[in-house]
Amino acid sequence: MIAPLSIWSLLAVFALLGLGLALLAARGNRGTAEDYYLGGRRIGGMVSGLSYAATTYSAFMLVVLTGLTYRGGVGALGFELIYFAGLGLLVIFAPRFWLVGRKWGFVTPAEMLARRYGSPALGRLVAGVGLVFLLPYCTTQMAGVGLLLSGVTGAEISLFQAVCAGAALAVIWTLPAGLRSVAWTDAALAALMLISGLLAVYFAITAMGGVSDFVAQLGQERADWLSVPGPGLWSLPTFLALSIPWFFFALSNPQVAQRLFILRDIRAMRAMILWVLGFGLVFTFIAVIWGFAALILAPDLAQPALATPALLTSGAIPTFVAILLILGIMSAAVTTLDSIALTAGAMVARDLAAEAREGRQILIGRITVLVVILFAAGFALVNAKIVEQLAALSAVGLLVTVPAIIGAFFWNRATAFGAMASIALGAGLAVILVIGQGMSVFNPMLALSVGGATAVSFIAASLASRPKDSALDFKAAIAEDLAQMRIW
Amino acid sequence: MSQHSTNTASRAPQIWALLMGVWIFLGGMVPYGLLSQSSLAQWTFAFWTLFGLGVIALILWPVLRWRSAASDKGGAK
Repeated sequence: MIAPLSIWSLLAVFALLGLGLALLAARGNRGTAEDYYLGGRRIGGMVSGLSYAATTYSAFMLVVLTGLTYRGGVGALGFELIYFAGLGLLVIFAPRFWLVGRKWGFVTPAEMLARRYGSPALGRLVAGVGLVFLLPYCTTQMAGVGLLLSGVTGAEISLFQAVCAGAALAVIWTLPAGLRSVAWTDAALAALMLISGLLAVYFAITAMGGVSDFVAQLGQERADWLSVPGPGLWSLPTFLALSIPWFFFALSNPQVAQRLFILRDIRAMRAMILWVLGFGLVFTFIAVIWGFAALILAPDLAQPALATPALLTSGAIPTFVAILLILGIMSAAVTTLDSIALTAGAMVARDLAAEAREGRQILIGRITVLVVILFAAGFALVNAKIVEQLAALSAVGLLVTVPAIIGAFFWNRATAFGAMASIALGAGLAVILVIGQGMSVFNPMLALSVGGATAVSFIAASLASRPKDSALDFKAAIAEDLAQMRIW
Repeated sequence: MSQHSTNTASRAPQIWALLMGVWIFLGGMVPYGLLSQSSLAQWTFAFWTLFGLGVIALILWPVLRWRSAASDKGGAK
């Protein structure tokens, strides 16, 4: 077990360094909502890339994905790489988001859709759906932190203490300067996640006698885990059920889609994509290899989600590396949580409380950030079933905005009615199937039904209605810029 | 020759989308088809590593072509 005092001491240093960085970032803010939520659209490629990566790659990676590898083997790598391939959507959509964001001053993806289709009600619906499915996802980040800290200290750090620590970090890193402090701390923490992960994997493999011995042991003792469906978890239906909704993550999740508005120029966007790709691939392999290492060094655990704490306390990993990785995983959780909280703040301030003055938009955002973090902390402690169900449903639930986003850029005939009908129908169907009918999120029919119903209703309802006069024509407005920048 | 180049360039997005789609399909299905035979199963990890690298190459192809335009300056208009 790891002494709680070592963890608390390093956490305190960690919090202070992050606070210093956040306060430094706050000096760049000029008091406008655009500044607070988007860093004045002047964020460079490296910071935005690392921030995007830290927001995307959450505690899920080294807690859940590692657990999925531990339980089911190499199928976890394939699932995560299909998600990784979904970053290819950025090739088409990232420059388009950025161009229209700059042209019309959009701050949230919901605001972008509302203006494109000429319907403020659509903006409110998109923001509402985003909040319903994203907030429960925040609780899983908090729960991950609690599981980790109590696991590695033999419950000497309680769930309550761990959740309070995570919540405090998220608050102090978000409130001072909004996106600037979130992006700067994200970038620093992404580096920590990567370095601590690489070190931990290195020591785990060394403890097993090196790469060749590690591979040989896996082949002899766990050969089933090296193929699919493996020991049973990764059947093709399960693989499809998880991969399909996650493939669209880059478009469907407002906290990452909003990152496409923050960039300084197209060069920064290119650099951002390069950083995300590099980080994503390396971090995916870290999480999966870590899961395989746990299988050898800490076998036969009753709960696969405990693979990381078990490996950290197995004696194979030096204590300083173990604590560094714990901070890395906490970073992954907190960076995802604070980004979601900030995006939720922007959606409430810009989409739900429309017409508010600049200063009031920032105040509303700050209050929302606090509420979101308290919500996540509170529900992580009480373990409410409805929140767990909605969190598991988040990837499918957010999928319902994808047809309207694609239509916004590529189909002038798409209408506000089509977008609203499809999002309302899709979100309702997702909730009914999972919460009402008890359909598992491991059933591919869930994503196929919700995705299919959303796409068909979007097309049908658009054809049955007329675009509003106030709708914007994104295609025509950015065609020249796209051609000049050689963007497809 | 130039006509041929222009046609190829204008078709590049469709070719890219087709390649990406086929690559993702193969990435998901080959391990469940060909590599599910026990004699080849050990290659699943290597295959997916290759798949990940291929995804990066496919994404970099269009992204590295992007150029700044005269209007491409920071801040909202």
